Amino acid sequence: MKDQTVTDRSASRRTIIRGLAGGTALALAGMPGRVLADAKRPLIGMIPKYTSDPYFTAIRQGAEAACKECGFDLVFDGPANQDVTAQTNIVDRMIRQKVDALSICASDPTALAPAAKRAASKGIKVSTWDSDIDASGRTVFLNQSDFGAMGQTIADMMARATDGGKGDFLLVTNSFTSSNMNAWRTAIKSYAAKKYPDMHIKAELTGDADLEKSKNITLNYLRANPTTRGVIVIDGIAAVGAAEAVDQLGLRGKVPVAGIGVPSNIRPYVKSGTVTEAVLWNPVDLGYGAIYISKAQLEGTLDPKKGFVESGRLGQMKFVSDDVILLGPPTVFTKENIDSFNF
Amino acid sequence: MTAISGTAIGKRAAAASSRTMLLAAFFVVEVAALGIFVPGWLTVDGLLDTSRIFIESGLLALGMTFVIITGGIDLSVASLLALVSVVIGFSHQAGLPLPVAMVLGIGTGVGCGLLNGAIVAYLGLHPLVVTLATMALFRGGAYVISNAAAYSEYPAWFTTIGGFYIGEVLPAQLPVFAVLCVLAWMILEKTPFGRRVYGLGENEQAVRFSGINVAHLKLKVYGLMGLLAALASIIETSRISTSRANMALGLELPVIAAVVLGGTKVTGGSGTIAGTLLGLLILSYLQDGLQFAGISSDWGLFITGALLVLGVLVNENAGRNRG
Repeated sequence: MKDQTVTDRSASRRTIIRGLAGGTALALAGMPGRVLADAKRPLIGMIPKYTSDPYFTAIRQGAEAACKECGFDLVFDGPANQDVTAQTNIVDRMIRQKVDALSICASDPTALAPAAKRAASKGIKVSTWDSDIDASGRTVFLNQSDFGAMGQTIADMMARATDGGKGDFLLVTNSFTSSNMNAWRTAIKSYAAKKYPDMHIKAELTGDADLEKSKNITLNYLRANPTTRGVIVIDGIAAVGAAEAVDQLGLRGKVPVAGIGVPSNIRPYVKSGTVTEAVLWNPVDLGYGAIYISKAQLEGTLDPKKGFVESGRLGQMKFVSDDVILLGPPTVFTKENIDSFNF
Repeated sequence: MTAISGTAIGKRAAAASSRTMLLAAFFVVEVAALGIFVPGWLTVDGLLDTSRIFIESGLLALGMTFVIITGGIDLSVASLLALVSVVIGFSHQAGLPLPVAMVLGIGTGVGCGLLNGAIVAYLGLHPLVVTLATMALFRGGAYVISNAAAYSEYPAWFTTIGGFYIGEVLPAQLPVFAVLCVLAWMILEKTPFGRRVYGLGENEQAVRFSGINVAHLKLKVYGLMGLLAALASIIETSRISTSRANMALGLELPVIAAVVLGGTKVTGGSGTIAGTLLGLLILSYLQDGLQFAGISSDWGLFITGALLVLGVLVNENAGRNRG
């Protein structure tokens, strides 16, 4: 009887091992992966802040189109949620993958810098887009829009929505550590101080790229501060959260929401009038342009003295300083035109 | 005490070693399979470099092994890691010299661990509920202290703690982790303290009746968890050279998954450091290999979940066979 048990157990253990081995092989073979690169084609690693946002899906779409034109292979990977450590880990992994160029949108300007420097020391060409890292860690930054122009557009939109922008306003952002959003906040405030002296931004809250959190902080704030005239949003997810909160409180038409918005996310709110206007650059173009910067870096033709970078169907993207390139003017979305944007 | 240390330990050791062999076999097969199917992945440099990614969760997993063996659980570890980091960063920003801030951080880690232990031990509340509460408490504390901002002005010497390579390939934290693994193994297997930790998970009453202060024992176990969380926090803070409240969000999951996959039963009384280490390696290298192959990081959580289910299933089956 005892012997019987022993045999059974070792047999079952063997089955388990065999099962696990088979399972691993199957899983590896069956999972959707990148067909590993041809050694001769340059491999570009592109890292978004996180993947759970249609904005970054649109970036990827543009990057894939550009890679096709340039004959590059693309690895596109980012953390599922905003997570600096995970993003650093991905940079490290891409160094091991021997990418030829890295194109990064950073969650934190300093956290990514050491990893980016490590990449550069191994001969990888590093550039950033959307959200920059410390200049020591990269060669060039692709700015999606002039921060000042963006801030002006947002302040003007809010003023239009509230008959001149007099009173108290709430601003909802993603986090206080995101370099581009901080630059817009500063730009909105300094422009409003001159142009709309009665526009008071009473509170600035962070939604942490989380829809539920963005909604709840807006709900709570508007309940506690019923005199608020409008909500300025400078993050695509915060825009949806704030609009949801305004609708839930029945304040549509009374407390307008305006600011940064991704058309696919905010389309219903723009059409219903909760969001009066939204502004953004075209993320497909941004992803597309970023790859052309990598291309110029790999070919050794990136030169600020030349003043521009050739970027396929976008024409020439201009250098605005020695290490910053500008994508182009922002696009304003309204009830009338929002259906023509599919990102 | 004799009832625990006699046949029970013999049986436990036998079951544990067969599980460890199974895990080791799985790990070898996994690395070999990844090596075959993912060109360029299997290199000595690469295997060593990946350790930078999992050492922080590895340190937490060592402490978690002790906690789970006592029949407890600590869901607050990732929040505590963030809190310690924020305490160090923002006290340094406020003017404290960095070494002093680090001591303050370690104190915070141990203190919060002891707080968990004290509530569990003296109020007799279930660790699941207690640490679920402190998970929110510590994370909330980190947000309050940092005001949702990040501190990133660390001096160069600090960033070498988690960013230095010995001979350009061996991450400096790897030998430290190896020593701590051996230390944890010795404490658990070779000391009376270790035997009591097992005893606590197997039969708390028996330990109590043999004249051992159960409350002190629990305090030590959760305090140790806090100390390891502080250590992990310093390494991670140094590695990414920034402190922010949303660090290590959700890290408790892979930590618990590594421990459970390693054969530690959540009901307490059994588990080994070798098992935890293998669980950690299996989980970490599988994720790394798949991501290296170009499979998006979105799969990471799915894989962790799948292996956790697998671990629980194997643990349960092993338990039944033994009876």
